Amino acid sequence: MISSETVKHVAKLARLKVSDNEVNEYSKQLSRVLEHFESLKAVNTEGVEPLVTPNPASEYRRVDEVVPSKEANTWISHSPDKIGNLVKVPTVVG
Amino acid sequence: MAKEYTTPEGFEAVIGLEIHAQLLTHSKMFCGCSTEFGKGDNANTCPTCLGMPGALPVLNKKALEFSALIGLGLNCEVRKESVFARKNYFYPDLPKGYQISQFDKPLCENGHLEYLSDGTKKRVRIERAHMEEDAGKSTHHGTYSVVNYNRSSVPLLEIVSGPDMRGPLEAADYARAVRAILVYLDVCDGNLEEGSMRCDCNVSVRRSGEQKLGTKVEIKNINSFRFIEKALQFEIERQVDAVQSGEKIVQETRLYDPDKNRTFTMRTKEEAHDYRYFPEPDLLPVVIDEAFMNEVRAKLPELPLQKAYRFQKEYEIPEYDAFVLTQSRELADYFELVARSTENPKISSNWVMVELLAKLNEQKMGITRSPVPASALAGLINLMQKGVISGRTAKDVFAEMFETGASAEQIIKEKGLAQISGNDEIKKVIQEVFVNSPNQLAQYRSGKDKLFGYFVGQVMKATSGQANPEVTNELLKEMLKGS
Amino acid sequence: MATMQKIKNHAEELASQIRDGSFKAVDAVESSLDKIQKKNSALNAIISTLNERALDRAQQIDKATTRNGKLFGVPVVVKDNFCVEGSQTTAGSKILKGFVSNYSATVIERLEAQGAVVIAKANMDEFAMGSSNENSAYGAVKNPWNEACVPGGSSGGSAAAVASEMAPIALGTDTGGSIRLPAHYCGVYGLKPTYGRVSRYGIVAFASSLDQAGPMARSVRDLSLAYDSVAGFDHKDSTTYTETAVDTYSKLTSNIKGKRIGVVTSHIENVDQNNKELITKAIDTLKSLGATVVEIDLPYTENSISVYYMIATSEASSNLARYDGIRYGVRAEGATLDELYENSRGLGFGPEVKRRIMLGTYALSSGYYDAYYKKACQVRRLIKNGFQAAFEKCDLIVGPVATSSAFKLTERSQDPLKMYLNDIYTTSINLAGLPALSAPIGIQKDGLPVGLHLIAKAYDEQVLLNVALSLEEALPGFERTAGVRG
Repeated sequence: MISSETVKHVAKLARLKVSDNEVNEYSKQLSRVLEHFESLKAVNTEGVEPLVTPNPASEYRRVDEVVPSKEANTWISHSPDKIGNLVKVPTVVG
Repeated sequence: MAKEYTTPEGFEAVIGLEIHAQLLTHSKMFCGCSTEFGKGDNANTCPTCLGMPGALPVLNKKALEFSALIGLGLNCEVRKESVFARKNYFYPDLPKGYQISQFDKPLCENGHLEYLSDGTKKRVRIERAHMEEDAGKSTHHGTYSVVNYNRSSVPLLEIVSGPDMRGPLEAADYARAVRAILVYLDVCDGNLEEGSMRCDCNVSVRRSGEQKLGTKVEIKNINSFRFIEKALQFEIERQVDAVQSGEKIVQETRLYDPDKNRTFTMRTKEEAHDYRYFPEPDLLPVVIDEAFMNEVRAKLPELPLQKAYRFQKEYEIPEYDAFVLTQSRELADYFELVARSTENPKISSNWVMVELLAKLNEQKMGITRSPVPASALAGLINLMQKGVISGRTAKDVFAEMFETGASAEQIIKEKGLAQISGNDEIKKVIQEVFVNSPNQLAQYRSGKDKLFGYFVGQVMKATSGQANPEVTNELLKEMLKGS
Repeated sequence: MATMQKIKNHAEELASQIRDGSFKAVDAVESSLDKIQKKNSALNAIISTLNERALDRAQQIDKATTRNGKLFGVPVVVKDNFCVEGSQTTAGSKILKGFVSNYSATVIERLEAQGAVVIAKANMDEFAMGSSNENSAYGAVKNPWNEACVPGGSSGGSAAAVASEMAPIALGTDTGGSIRLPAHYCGVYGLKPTYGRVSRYGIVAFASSLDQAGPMARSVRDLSLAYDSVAGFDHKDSTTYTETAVDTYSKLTSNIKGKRIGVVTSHIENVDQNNKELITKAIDTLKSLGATVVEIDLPYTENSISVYYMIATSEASSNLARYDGIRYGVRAEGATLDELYENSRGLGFGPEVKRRIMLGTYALSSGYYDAYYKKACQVRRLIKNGFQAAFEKCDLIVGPVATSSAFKLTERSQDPLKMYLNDIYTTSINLAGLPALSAPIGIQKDGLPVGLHLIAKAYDEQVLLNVALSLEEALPGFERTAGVRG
């Protein structure tokens, strides 16, 4: 139901490295799961509005005020590679 | 200056613009971090705009207001219920791995913008304007890049036009017109160079008369209005050449190189992004009620088009002048101040449009940096209207005012430029001229009317141009009659 | 420790004694840390302890002049997806190993405002994805009642910690049953509040429209205290409900006369014999307390697994995109940016997480969105409507949490689908955003606990707690804590 090619494509979209073994395994497992999901097709959803958030919330909106935060290095200190307070990454193509 | 650009014979260019406007809020779109420019690297960050585990977005009320305001300014329908959506892709300057934007159900839709381009009135549809957050900024250094997240999650409004423009100039003018609205509303700086306003162009070509649209090419991040024009000129030529030589046009994203004046492919090995949009589950739909819309409407100032029409009516100036003067709020305010002080809109518009703008353009200054404030120009014009100086002198005085920032009065006093208008004074000068030019006098009195100009000239010479022309004419006519 | 055994080891009593000074917070914390030390090698319920931080706080509490707080001095274990400032939060994953946050989840701040002392981070299925706590990068958790069995997931560590008396209260999160299932398997109380009752800020997100944090405890009163301490509107979470102050504790009553209990007989029929007996007995007890039982129908139960997994994995695929090794977490080598992403995520995520990310990515991808994600959201609305219709006929719904008690380790872990089907009774509640609770109702013949699933209308946590209290008082005595060696 979901071919190895598709698994590779989806893994790429999700930036997940998958070995060839994993590709085959996932293809089988995901196909089984998707087959089960086929049962949804039988449910009549004509005119039914999709539900995203199950309950209404407070509709709170922030006032446009600056909330002081911690110093830059507090947050950037987590980065595995940095230059000063800038996060460093291998070059981005394009 | 290059001649007026026209699309190659037999072809039509179809252009649409996507403009991203950074909103002038104090804090970011979904967190309380400052939007202030120029702070240290990553100084304006927090868990939310860094996409740290467990961080959640909360909408900035002002960003919503500003967005709705822009929607109204662009004659859009503002949706009562709009939905945020996630646009998913991987890039280091996108901390969450998705951008919170709007997809189905954007805030604003179905608007339009009217503006003047090359003397003709244009009308472009605004398909939609939707809210989203900005990404951080990555800077490339060869083998590595560095990322600064100060800009991450700054509020943006993306304004998408219909594919309604047909030439580079009208596209650039559309962008100028959008900028004018944004600045009028005081919601965005509109600075293309600094990036507070960003312009992407979508352009395709087709043979004249064809209905089907050609392959669209996107040109990203053009950072001046002039470059918009030039980039489009190049791109249209490139596409027409390709079509004519049977080449297929690749749907792609290109950049503009102003030094070489050409567009080039963005070096990316990506296939087309699959953004996998879905409604943002961390934010509920944005519901707007009448009370909110009324508040927003109350904040709507007089917009460029309305102002232009009012100027035409109230000040009785021609449409073209009205459009030029209302290009920017500052220019319009400047003109109005002068017009009201001098009570002579026609002369005021002339001075502002011709004298002032010429000097400003020469010095590459905007109206806000004019060394001659509106009150000073009004002062100069009033002196001219009172007859203290002649029109010709006024031009010189203005040049001096622009140079030194001194007032008209000061300059006229210092240089003794006041017009000579007293009858007695001028009579005296005329008498002297008569004494020095007996032959011409005799000739005139025997019928050579043409010599009138000579006498005028002589009076002007004797007074260094400061004799009041009207008075001089009157007196000369009288005095020349005599025998 | 002798002192701890003197008191009933419930938070309510402990807090009261610490408030009046007859018991020291430091002693309570040390006792809990000691229990963890003794039992964790067998159970693997805890990933890290916060010894220094906890003892510091306990000392401050013992010195404090203002002595109020619902959980004053009470040691609390929290699932390792709650950020606690200054401590490691792994979410059960390799990719966050060593990540020490500079901020705490709102829920943690609120607990601490009530005087609670966070002592440890509990083991969990990686990124809360699992029903058995066998998916953790830090090893599986064992069920304190039978170490050959799973404790349930994904809040397996939290449930095991409470069941084995490491602490009287634990916090977990529930996205498709992750509090209720381990509560059932481990014989403790577990409450999943109404979606929007408890702030999600600072909790590692799995599925944004389904996740909800909730307490686990060994008594209803403790559960109520813990819930009251954390629930309420949070300006940092746009999905929280307006009501700010929540007080179920003062309104607790075991009087349930006249309450209408909805039951889906087929659900109970599907359950194994041991569980069925206890469930039927519990329902009979409720009847004897004056409640009436009404047969109801929940027509979309069969579809709930598909709907749940479609939506949860879609949201998760997006929520987990931020784990890329760029700004925090573990970064693998990569010559190019894409390689860096793929390696970091490929190595940092376990197989179940990868499977779900791929499933979700697929469900949202171009061409499949309508058939999968959108369709699931439409059926979600039907599920919610189905509950609303049922609640016209009853005040709460009662049934099994799962089809059996705790199963053996590795029994279902080879087949993802089999594992998913375990969630058949719990997932629809998250989809509808309702509150639900698992209440222990006895120990079945195999020596494993059984819980009863109680479901109420949105925002009606009170009726859940009241009915649970009535059962706590009325059911014949049974063992409430796991007899673990040591």
